[in-house]
Amino acid sequence: MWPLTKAWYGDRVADDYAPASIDHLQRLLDSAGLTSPFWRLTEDGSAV
Amino acid sequence: MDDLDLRRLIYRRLAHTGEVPSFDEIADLVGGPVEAASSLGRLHDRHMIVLDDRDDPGEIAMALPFASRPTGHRVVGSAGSWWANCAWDALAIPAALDADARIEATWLDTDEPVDLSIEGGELSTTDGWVHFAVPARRWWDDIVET
Repeated sequence: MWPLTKAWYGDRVADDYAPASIDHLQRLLDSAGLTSPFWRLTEDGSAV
Repeated sequence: MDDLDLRRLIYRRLAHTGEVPSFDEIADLVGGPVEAASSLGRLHDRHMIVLDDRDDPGEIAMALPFASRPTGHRVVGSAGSWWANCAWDALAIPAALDADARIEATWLDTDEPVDLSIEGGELSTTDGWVHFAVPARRWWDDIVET
């Protein structure tokens, strides 16, 4: 949970923050082992 | 001040004070209430902030992971304290601030106080669970409920 949280939110306050792409966020969830349909960020899972 | 400048201002203010600027202050900064409502509405639509009411842009409810008002999750660090929207956001605030902090909240199942802190940039314990009730693809359908 903590590594995912740092990767997901670590740059949120940075002045040069730029929103991450859906693909990138999906990879973060996948890397944390959150790979079931519950964790798909799009309806058809096409983000991955 | 463009939309991203306003976003930076909001997040800097939250990081330093735990509070968001008021609508009136934002209106003064961006040239008036019409301009403020437009800019805040666009930031809301881009999921960069969450307004109390998208149809009548005014005060800011959230700038994830920060909450603008008291919640059941408080993050306390050496430089200040912040309200979080949920359990995950309570972890996310120290991550975003790159700061050690203590989390003040209660476990959902027992109502007992949690004993969680970030020390030396690491979570003090991995015991416990963060419960996600809403599937990820639905998080932004109603982010307040999420």
